[in-house]
Amino acid sequence: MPVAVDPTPAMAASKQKHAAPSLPTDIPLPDTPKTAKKPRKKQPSQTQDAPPTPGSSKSAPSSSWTWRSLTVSSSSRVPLLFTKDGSYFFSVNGPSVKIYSVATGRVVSTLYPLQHTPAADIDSEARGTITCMALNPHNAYQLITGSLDGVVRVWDFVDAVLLKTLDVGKPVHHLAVHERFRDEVFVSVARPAKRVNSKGNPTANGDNNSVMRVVLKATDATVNLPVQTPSESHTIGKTRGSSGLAFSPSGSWLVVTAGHKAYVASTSNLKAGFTKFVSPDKLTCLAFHPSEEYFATGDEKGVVRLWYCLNDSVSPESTGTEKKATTTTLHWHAHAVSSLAFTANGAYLLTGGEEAVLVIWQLHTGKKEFVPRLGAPIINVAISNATTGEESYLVGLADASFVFVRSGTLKVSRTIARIKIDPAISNNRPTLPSSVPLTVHSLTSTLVLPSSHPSMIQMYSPTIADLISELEVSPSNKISRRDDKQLDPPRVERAVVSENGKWMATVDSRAGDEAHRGEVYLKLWSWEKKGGYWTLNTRIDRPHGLKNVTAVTFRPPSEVSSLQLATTGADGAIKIWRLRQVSKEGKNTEEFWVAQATLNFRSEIPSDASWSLDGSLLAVSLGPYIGLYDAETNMLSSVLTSPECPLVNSAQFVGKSSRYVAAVGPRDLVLWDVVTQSVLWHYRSFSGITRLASRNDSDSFLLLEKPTSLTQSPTTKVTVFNTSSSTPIATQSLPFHFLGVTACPPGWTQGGETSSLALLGVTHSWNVVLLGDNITLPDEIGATHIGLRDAGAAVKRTLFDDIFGASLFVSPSVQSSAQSPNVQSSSWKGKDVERVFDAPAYLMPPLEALFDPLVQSFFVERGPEKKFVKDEGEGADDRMDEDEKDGPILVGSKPERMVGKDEMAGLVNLFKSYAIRPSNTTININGIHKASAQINGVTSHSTTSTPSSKAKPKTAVPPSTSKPSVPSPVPSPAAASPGVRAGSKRKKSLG
Amino acid sequence: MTEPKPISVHRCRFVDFTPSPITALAFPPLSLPSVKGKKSAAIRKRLAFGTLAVGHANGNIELCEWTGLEHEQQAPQAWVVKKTLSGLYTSKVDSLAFTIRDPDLVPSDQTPALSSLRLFSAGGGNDLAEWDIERGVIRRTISSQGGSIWSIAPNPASTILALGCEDGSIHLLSLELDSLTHLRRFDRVKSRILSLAWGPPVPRESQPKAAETNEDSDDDDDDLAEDWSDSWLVAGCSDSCLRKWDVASGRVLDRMATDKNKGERTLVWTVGALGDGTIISGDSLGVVKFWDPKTCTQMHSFQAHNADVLCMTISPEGSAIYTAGVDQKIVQFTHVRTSQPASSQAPTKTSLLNRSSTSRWVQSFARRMHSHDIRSICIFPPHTPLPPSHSRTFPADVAPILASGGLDMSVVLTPAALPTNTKNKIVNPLSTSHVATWEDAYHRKIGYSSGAYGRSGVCVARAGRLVCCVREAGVSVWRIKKRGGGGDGEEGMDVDEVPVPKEDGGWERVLDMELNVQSNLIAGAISDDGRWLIVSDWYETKLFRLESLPNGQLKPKRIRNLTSVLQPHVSPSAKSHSRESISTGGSTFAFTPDSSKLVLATSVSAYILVIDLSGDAPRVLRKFDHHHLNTGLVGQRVVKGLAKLQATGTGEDATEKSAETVGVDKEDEDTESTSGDVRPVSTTVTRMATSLDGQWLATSDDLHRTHIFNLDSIQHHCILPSFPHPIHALAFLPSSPSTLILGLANNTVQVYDVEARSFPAWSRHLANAIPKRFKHLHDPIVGVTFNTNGTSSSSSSPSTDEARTAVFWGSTWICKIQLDAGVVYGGFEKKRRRDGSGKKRKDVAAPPPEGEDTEQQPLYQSANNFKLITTYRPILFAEFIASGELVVVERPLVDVLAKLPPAYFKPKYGAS
Repeated sequence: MPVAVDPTPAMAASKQKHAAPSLPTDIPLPDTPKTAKKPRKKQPSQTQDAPPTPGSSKSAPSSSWTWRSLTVSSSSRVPLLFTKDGSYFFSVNGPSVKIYSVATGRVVSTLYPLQHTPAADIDSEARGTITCMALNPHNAYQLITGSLDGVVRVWDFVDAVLLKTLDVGKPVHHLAVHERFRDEVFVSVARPAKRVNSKGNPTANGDNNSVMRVVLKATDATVNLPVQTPSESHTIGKTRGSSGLAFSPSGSWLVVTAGHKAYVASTSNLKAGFTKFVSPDKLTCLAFHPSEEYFATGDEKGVVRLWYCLNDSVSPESTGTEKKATTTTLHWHAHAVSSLAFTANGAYLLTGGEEAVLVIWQLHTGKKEFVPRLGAPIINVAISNATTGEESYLVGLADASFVFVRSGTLKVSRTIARIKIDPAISNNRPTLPSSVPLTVHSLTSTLVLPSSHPSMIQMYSPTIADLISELEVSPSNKISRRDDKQLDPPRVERAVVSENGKWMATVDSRAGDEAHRGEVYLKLWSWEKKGGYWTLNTRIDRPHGLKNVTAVTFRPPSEVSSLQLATTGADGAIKIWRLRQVSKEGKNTEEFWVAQATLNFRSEIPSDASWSLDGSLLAVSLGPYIGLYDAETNMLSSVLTSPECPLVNSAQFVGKSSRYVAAVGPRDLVLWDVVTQSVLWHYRSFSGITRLASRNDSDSFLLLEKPTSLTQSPTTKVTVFNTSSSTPIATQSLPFHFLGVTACPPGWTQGGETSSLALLGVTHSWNVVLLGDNITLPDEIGATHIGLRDAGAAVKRTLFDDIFGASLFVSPSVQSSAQSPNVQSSSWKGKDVERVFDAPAYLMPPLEALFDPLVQSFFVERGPEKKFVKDEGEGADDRMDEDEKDGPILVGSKPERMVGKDEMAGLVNLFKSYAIRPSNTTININGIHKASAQINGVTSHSTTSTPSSKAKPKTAVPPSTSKPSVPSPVPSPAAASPGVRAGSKRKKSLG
Repeated sequence: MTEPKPISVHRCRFVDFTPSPITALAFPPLSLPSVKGKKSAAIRKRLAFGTLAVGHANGNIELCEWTGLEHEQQAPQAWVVKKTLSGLYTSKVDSLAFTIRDPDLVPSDQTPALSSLRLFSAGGGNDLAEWDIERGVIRRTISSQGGSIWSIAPNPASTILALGCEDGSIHLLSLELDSLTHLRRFDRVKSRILSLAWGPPVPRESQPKAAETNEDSDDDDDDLAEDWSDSWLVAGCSDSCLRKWDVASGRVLDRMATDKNKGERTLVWTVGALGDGTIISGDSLGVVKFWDPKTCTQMHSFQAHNADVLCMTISPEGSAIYTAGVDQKIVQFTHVRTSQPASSQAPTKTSLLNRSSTSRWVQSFARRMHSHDIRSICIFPPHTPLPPSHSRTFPADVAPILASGGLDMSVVLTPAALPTNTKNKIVNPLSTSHVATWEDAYHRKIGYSSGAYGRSGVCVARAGRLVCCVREAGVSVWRIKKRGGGGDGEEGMDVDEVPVPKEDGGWERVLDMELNVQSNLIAGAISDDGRWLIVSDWYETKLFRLESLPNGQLKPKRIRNLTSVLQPHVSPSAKSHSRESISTGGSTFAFTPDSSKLVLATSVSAYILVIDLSGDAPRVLRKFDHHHLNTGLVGQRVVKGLAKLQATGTGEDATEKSAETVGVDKEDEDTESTSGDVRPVSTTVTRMATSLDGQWLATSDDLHRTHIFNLDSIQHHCILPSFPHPIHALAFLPSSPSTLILGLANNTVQVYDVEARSFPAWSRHLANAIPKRFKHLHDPIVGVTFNTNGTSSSSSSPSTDEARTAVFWGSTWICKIQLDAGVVYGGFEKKRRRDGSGKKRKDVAAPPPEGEDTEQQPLYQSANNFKLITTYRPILFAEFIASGELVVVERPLVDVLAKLPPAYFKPKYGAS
């Protein structure tokens, strides 16, 4: 995965540079930029991005595919850090530091020191892993990082400039700064264990550190070199492998936690070295009380200790000896404490650990409060030091998501997450599941993925690179217990979404043991369009007894009959379920799923099922046979069998018209013509065939094989076939194995020709990868470093803003300064405009000058797109249309828009009537991703509707039209002023 | 033992003796220092450990004595029972307090001796009792005049005792001049006074000179106590609050309200006051609160316990608090300073309690060392609330000892050094572990004994095969049946090995008596043939003749005229005290092996009476008053030279001799070495032993004196030099009846040859060669027994080795020691090393064939001259009932605890 990541920043670098100065007004609408951005991106990505991506392979189809990972690497244990004003926070991701905006929860910028070496290999990344960071106490805009390659870097994170790179020489594990020590940094570095211990064998643990005091000034000789040598550094003392390094608030004590000891040194007498205080267990983290001279540690047994040893018991004559200190123990955690943080007023201590519970200790009394069920083990706890407003706690979880907890209510206020993909973090399961839920929800153009807990699935939108929601398919206990026998949680095995996106079927199961019998559930979920979430409609217990469900597939919609679902199970049954509608006496009809038919074919076990495109036939692989069932009558219409393929693992309809059935055995691929009921061709693989992937709008399909390679590296061979011939069109190999693949809907990638297949897959290492010919995705925002020009000036939103958007009365200049730079970059059109942004910030023309050309560019694009939408009408939901209709009018009227008195009165009325309602728009803006009922209705609605509307035009457009001037779809509502937003709101609510 | 002769063990668990829960603990206070500052602010030398008073739910109070000598830093056995004050039957001890009888005479840097202390107890009723410690009886009682007494607290100067009463009043009793009179009563409030604590005394205002400044050079030490006046008193009440009373006016100064649940009243079970005036309270919600000394507002509140806090104690220097209660935890609170003082070398003693903003109390640690409610906790050295200007410091290199006790019946001792004091090496006086900080040091229990004076309450009739157990008011006798199977049933086992318990049905209960007693029974004995049973409370001895019924049961027949027989002999003589001597109670008994004679030691007057039982009616043959009088005492010791002088001296007639014996008045310590003055002393004979041939009688009292009497001639034989430690085990060697084995409380063993009136040479070697492991056993010796092989036909010629093998036992161990091994082999050191490993198994696996004993002797001797097993616990009693047949009476703690109400338990995880 890191290999694939590399080109991304590079590629993004060139692009995001242009994109960075986004429109001032698009802050409140995180969902909209996508619509504007995507079509536009197609353009530059082909014309400009190809040259500067040295790492990416060329797009020759016969060579190895391009692929990229949608997941970020695992979360780092480095404590999170807030900027001084609390509007951004830093999170370490491997060798880079991501800067998140607190206001939007998005990555604003990434500080990436290896920028100049694009071909960085995995090794160098691992070596360059950042292990610690701190803000420069004398310059709040400077970030100091230390990394395992032995380098301390000083960044100006506002301008994203690497100021200094000082080579310490040994891997840096921790660093601490204090304002008493100007231009100095105290680092804990690894100490090579060369020496031989008393028993004669070398100390293999290498778990020794030493603490050094490093002056952040380069020697004269190296001052101009890229990597400089500090002018002065000396060692203070030696420790075991350190787990924390901190200064007391007054700066008079330096404390290192390492192994079973806390090392304390008085900074007034650093030469005296450390006094050691012994703890019964290995210490894992350290935090200092913000005002008083004591500190807290957490240890491996889950005990939090407060140490009151910073007094005259640390005396020069006592250094070197091991002592005991007066401590207070706070014990709640059953597992190791991973992080500690004191609140700014010093009254509370926050701790987190493997239990996924944030514990808030009231230090005065020892009472505790909990924020339970955060979803994944806690890795980091930080406290937002926002100068105004309510304090909130930021919790970094092991599944690479961040959770904000309000200090007042102790409720999770928001979650920042990307794909949570590794279920092993909380449940150390030795075996990989045979199948994972992986499908595409077309209505919202999201990807349905397994989440960080096996009983949950998540919805991820690749286009905006954002986690939309999570769905707990089966309620289960998430708390781990290390000592007991591991509970086997229910595991979602399959998830299928119907073609119209209204229904989802999931299968979750739990193996039985002595105490409990196994459970298998088939659950059917209906899509709540309004709220944008799935609700459980029907639960079918043990659809195939306790046997596995081998296939679940929805019947493509047909005019005559209601929706149907076919499942096959290891009990030999093929079951057809249908949607039944019962109209109640009242107005509404109730829908639920009932069994329609149960079919058996001899005693064969069905292993796969596939509907033809028109839904008239169901092909079921049954041992050596392929059974074709008529969908209406549920009758077996014919049985196909061929000597070439003695065992059919999977049979699927392929081709545009579903004329063919591809049957896959362990090594064979046989293509049947259903009309003639004859074998068209046969292909024999030299390696095992793992699965078949096809898309029903294309004549080509893919075969995934697992070559039996002797090398360690897993590879998957992908062969592309056309229905016309048994000769592969292309062959690619990929360096991983798949747990599941699904065809990528055509609109998602911006590859060259839309006919080429793109795949989404979950690899064995729980990466989600997108692969295909020339795939590109909208780039991650802030994937490279961008200057935070207004880092200190993030304007606080008011409730008014949350409801109506930013005020119109604010002058544009103020707005421009108010915008946070992160926002999804938006909609630029025209190369000259883009070039303007190539220049440094201080060379740019004033935003007032930029505004009109930019807005003009949107109008040009608007028209054709709208036609497409109208032509394609079907499937686009009403509200979507409404939005689009509203859009242009308001946008057009925007520049000369004035707020009249009557409009103000209307607004006042509206505000009065809306003030009581929950502030759903607040969440919309903040981008909450939890599919928590009605709250984020608007968010998911707009995110869902726009991609689909976009996908449609693209399929309709012939491939040849992929020119730079391809009409851009809906201009971003984000580009519109807040007034647009307010207007649409008002319309909706008033009408 | 030349060969590992198999020993079958009767592992008796049927004895339903139930120890009594601990309800109160007390250490003696220290007297107040001089007001004139510097002189006694710091205690520089090591304090002698004071007497620990343990009050039980059955009314008994045990006074425990530290086993370490003055020069010894550590005493593994810690405190052993010196005296048992037998409470009235169905009384209880809810609170205990020591005061100093004459505070002016006790230097403030010395632990007051037991003789200068007064002991008060209250038992839930209206009356406060003062005990006569020497005689073991209640000296006087006084009614509270306010209903049930809930709490008692002596003031720091030991001049006033405050009683907290049921009716909400606090009564002050004056203790001046050894009196006990009502002094005054404070205003009544509408709640019970559950707990009391005195605030720090203030230097008396009336003193013309300033207290701190030492301008006056004259030292009038005589009226030290007069320099202090009491300031205030704080009481924990049953209506969710604490009240602070002004001692001068008797009015409530402040009222401090604690947390309360809705509709319930919080009970403030315990309260404490520090030298700076800080008040600490513990209540029924489990909350420990610290209250500001000046404003009486809450400073800290800790939800330290899950259930009621019942007791607290304050560390000697007032820098730590320990609280305990129903949830079985002991929680430590520490006073910490979180910032560096301006000068890091500031003197700690003044800054410790200086109330600066950076110092505060933190809840630092909690330990769970009890399995049931903790009722009482105390610490030595005791804390005296003294104003900061006069605050005491203690030597930093000795850890204080925290004692706690409760319903699980054992006192738990923990060294309680604070981690901040770890600059020097701190000695752990309990020698449980090297570290002495309370967090990390090992704790230990003081095992309970089933009888008074640390004796066993169980006795055995060998020939009658009866086991007898004496409880508070009842006696039970069981019969141990002979094993039917004979040889094959006896699985070969050595004492050292894990024995197979005898099959079920090997015993039956043959007698169960509940007696009408005045105080709890203190002693009992059963004759060897099982025909006589004698029990006694403090006031009356009851003798029974046991007759076997056909169904195997025993029928007791009380010998009614024993009291009248005894009375003339214990009736007050001219010079002895009048009232108490009427008591015919016995403190210890012994039957001669042929069951023809009974030796009785009277409880109050410590006469030894030899009673002939062979006739129709018991007849007193002789009365010895050697224990009653201060014979042989030099200081408090019997000195060897003098003993020899006496022993080799002329006297055959003991009564006459005693008059001539050199003696010292006990009160005049060290002043006179000799005097002709013979005065009665108050002592109790605690141990008694007769030799197997019935010739010798050894008696030992709690002044550590041991007298030997010749029962054939019924005459006093000699007095032994006394040892610094009380004698816990006393027995004559069966094989050589004139050899007396003494096991001392500090787990040393002495051997005395009675006929030669000397310690044999080999015994000195033995005393020196006792392994350290044995000496460091935490539980002191309780008894010694010998594998008598007189009746055993199977045993070959009784070799001297076997004959001189003694089996000592304590409450958790049984140890076999070959007494003369030191001479033969040269010590035990090697054996100890072998013990831990698996070698023991090897010994069992390959016992040598019979008859090869002579060749194998050195090997087996080396393996067998010291063996320690800890398989059985807690042991109430161990005795060879016949050759190779050991009765071990166990009382597993689980069985005992099962009879108590269920302990507080809160599941760690899970529902509710």
